[in-house]
Amino acid sequence: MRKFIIKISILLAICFSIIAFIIDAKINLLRDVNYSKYLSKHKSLIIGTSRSNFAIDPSSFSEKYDLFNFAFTAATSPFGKIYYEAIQDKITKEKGAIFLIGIDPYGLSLDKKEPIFTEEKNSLGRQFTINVNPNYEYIFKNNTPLYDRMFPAAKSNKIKHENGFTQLKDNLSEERKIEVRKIKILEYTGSSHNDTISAERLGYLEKTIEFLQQYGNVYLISVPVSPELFAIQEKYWPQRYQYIEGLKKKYKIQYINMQINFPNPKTIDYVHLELEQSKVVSDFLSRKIDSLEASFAHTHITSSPK
Amino acid sequence: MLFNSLEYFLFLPLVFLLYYSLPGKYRWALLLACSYYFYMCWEVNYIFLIFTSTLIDYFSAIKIEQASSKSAKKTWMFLSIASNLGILFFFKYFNFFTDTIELSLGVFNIKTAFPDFDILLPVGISFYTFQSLSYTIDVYKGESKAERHFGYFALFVSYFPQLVAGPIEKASRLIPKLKEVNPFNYDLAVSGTKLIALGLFKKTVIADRLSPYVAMVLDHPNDYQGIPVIVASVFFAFQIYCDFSGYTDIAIGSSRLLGKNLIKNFNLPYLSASFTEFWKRWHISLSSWFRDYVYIPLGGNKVSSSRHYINLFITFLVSGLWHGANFTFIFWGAMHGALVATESLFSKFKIQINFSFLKPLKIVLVFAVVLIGWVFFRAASIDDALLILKQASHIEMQQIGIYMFDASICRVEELYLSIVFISLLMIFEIAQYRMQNIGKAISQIPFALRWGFYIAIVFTIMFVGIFEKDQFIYFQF
Repeated sequence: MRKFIIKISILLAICFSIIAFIIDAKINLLRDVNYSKYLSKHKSLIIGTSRSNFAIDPSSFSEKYDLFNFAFTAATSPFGKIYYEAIQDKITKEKGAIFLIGIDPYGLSLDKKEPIFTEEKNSLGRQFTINVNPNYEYIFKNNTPLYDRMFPAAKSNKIKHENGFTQLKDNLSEERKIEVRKIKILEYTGSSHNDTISAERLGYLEKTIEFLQQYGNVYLISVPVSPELFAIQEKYWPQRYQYIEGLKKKYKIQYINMQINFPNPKTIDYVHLELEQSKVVSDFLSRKIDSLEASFAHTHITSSPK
Repeated sequence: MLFNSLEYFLFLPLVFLLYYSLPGKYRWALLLACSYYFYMCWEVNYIFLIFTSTLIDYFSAIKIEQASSKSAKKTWMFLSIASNLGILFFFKYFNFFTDTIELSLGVFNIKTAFPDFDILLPVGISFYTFQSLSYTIDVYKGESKAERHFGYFALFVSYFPQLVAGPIEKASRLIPKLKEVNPFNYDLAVSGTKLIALGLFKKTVIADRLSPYVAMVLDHPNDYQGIPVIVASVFFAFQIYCDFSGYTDIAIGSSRLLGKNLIKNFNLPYLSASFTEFWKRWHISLSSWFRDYVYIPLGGNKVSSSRHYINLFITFLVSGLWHGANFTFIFWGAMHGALVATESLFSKFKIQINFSFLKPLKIVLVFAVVLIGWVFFRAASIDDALLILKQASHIEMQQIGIYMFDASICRVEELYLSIVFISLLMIFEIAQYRMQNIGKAISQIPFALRWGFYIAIVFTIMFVGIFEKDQFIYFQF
């Protein structure tokens, strides 16, 4: 049996070495924009769905926060067991962190007829390791065939960043944009009809806040969307502000509603911000966080016993 | 847990190491626990279903053996058959059955509304039900002894390498193997590993590569015609072969690692020169099951000629229905039944032309007809299948080389790769057909070249293979 195991091990080691060599040499060509989210722990996180993923660039924030964009999509990272456990693993658990939690009604929803947590079957749900570099488990589970994913022929409209931020390229024609926006309206109208806000997801949102508060300040944020989509989501979840007010009081946290500051943002598809707009929004949010952190520090200093 | 998943490649070595490190008397318990865990990875609740089938058949067989009268034996056997087929009927055929009744009565303007159950078909139910069923029938016929050890019997029903898609084993063959406390067998383990690699190659490099093209064309028969439809149909023939025989190779290979050889399920079926030969080479364990438990009880060939042809036809019809609750499967079964019966009829008249140069032609002809059968097998309805065949007949010469590799269907590189890998597989199979023992031939190649070949295969699987995308096609049955 020893001979058998040695032979198999040698064979696999040779093959893995060749693959590892290719992956290491060509890792920058890997088309997967989410790959960088599975490599290492970070002090501070941006949490949420694709709205936050495509809108908030950590490079706009001070380096002292070590802020990382750990938002995916409403299908992969809605609030639930999977995302909660991933967040727990993802942070370094150092004090003085900041956590920006994007509130998106569709990341707090479940299907009315089939209330199934479908994220369990998506990449994050199927992943065991989220802080390994290089992450072969992620590469093999999500990027096969490897030859194709590492030598992309098709042009992607997304650019990945090491800080987790996914940049959307505005390479759609105006006609295509109109078409895509129509589809988005139909999609969100359909979701608003078929889905409902889930008590269990709200529970996990609160558990996430409670957990993260041990290591730093938690901020709830709303990434701006187009007025057309905003109207749909307001109708879908009218109690949203009441609920957020409740969270603010219960956990003594701040809510930054950027829809007020950017009521008509430039979007590609009514939901996701154009690159320039995301830069403006990220800079605005960065300044806001800095001032709030400074006021917290001031309050902390002035209220400290002398 | 799919055979082509990372989880399985952690699970299998772990089972392998634990199995050989445990004392012989505890190994069955390990395999049973691992098999139940393997099944529960799909749906935890369905473990109760397989356990119920196990309990019923375990006690039925003992009662059959203990019964003093023939009628008592019969009663217990019918109880086993009725409960097994009842479970299978409910999960697999109930909605089809009620829909068909509603449709039939609708013709006479009689409106009925049966309840429609939205149930998920338990993975592998047809396979383990048939395996378990064969056991009680064998005990009834006196061909097998009732197993008294519940653990071994439960393992026979749920043995993980062949639980979800066969090969379907007989109790008289598998239970003694499960009881064997075999030491590690180097040659068997090496051949098992090679089979696993071959199975993975077929599944991840070929079958899952063909899948998008096949789905794009055959799921939208209105949108394509001519060459792309023919290419998609040929691709489906290779997809289903590589998917199912790839699964079986991994199943047999996994079992060989545990020192237990399972029966062969495929033997180069697309190199058959007749339909009868095709069914001796395709899904051999199921064909044998239908031969032993349907065809022979019907009288087999020990009856009048006309009755013999009817027996053949009925056997294939039931086999079609086994595959799924849809008229497409019934048609597919009936078509093969008619072909095999016709062949049998011609063989009676001794109409045989045996020129060796005709054999390749016969192989191509059989493959072409099998292909038509696969169109029905793959289509959502008979109408769709007929539409696909109609669309395939609209061939325009200018399509060759242009639409055949239409980038809107699938990326051209993927198509070229598919063709290259299918060709390599066929070369390998033809070599196997001619040499009989290709494994021995490979082992005689010089060391460096042989290892180069192994490395190339494993590297191709890792670098070009598609993982975690599609389930195995036969899991739905």
